[in-house]
Amino acid sequence: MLLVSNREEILAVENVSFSYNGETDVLKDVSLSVMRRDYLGLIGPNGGGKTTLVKIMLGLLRASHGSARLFGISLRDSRERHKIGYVSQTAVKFDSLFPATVEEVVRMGRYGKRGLFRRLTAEDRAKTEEALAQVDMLAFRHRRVNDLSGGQKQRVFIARALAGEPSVIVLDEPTTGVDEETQEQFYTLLKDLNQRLSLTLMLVSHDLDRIAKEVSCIAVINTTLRYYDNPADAVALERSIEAHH
Amino acid sequence: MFELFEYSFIVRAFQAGMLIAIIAPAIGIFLVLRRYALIVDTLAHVSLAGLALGLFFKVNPLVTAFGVSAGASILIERLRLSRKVPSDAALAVFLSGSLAFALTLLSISGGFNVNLFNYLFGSLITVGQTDLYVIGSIGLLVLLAIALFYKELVFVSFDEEAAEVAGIPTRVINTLLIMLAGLTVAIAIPIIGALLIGALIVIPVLIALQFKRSFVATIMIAEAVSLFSVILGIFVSYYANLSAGGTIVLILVALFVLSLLRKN
Repeated sequence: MLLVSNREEILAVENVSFSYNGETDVLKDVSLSVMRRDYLGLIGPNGGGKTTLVKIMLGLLRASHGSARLFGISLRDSRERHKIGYVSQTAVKFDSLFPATVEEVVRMGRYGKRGLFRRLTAEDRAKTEEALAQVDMLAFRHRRVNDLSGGQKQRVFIARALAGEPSVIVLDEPTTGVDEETQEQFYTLLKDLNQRLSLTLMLVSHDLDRIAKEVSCIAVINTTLRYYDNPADAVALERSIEAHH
Repeated sequence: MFELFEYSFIVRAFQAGMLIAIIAPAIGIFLVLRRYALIVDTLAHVSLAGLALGLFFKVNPLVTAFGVSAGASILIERLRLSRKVPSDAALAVFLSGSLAFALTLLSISGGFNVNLFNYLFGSLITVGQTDLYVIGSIGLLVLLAIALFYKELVFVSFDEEAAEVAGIPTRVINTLLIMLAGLTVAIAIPIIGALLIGALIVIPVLIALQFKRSFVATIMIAEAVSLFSVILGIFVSYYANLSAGGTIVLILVALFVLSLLRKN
């Protein structure tokens, strides 16, 4: 089901199917569009194809059938892939040996934009500072990431995505293993970024009830995809579908 | 005390040793953080096969060592990516296979002699003038490549998926890293020895990591530790008539133990 809207399409997949080794379909005829300023929750059970769909939308995997687009152009041919900000699970599975300061990590967000063989410039340093200020972590710039709390680490990884001046940020289960209070602060920050900076967000999660309170639209993926304009509808309908099964 | 510099072979050993001391941790930091440390030992044995080829065909063994090492590093990365075998097992095949190849070739050419011993354990007198030129040019090439691809190497080591999403050619960078490791190992063998080079690439980085500093500071500490150990090691090995590679690595191990104690 495609969302019909006048707003600009940022990231999309159309009629995507995917199977490993040509066997059971992990995804079947899935279409989804992320429009500018959306705060989309992508929900699904483990093994429902959530990670596979995200990887296809990020260009990390190629669909068996169908296509992925960025700004209407095939993701494979796009020269604007650096406009996708990505907060991977590294924030929660952080390598405790890796020696890096907050600033060093956030600067990585500029690397893709700058390109091969080019050194970072004064503009890159300014954007790094700006991103740190947006998540309220500028005062921690010289601290080691390993010395931060879980919530602070998440802010650093959001800042890394922000530093690349993205059109959309994709967050892959960013609250796994994080305590309730930190989760709350994290969701407040995301909502603020979505509203204040008009930033498009795609939040991947397995917790429909929790995410429904945050996002503006929901896609439920379990091999096939159901799209909801209204998160409250998603909760009600998904419950009845679950009860039916 | 400094009369040793009257001997040209010692001067060459110092020049080559210091160059290797600078390159080893610069490449080592990426290998250690990516959990690729064991690849160094595999590449060392592969280089040994390259050296054997050189001795067999009577061409400069260093040149064949870095050729074979660079080629094998591409094959290792492809085998790792193909996922046909577990990646550590792929390393084991290359390690034993190339050692077997080296031993067979050397036994055909009657080369079980001082030469082999020197390449296994390193020696100050093995560095000839031509070797110094080869070590110098390959060494500078490795340093230049690290400088050119520094930000990509850092990003891929830290978060490979995010780097790929950002458009960094991660496969190219991974292959490049292993190739650079192969070249470093090949040029370090005459002094440090194939069996000990892993220590020079890995231990200075491990020591530097104990200081818990930024990425850049960690590299700088590792460089200082590496240079100190190599210079002191060559001095000590010359005056005490000990193996250069063994002495350097023992100094590194001692410093590593000290760094752990300091932490506790």
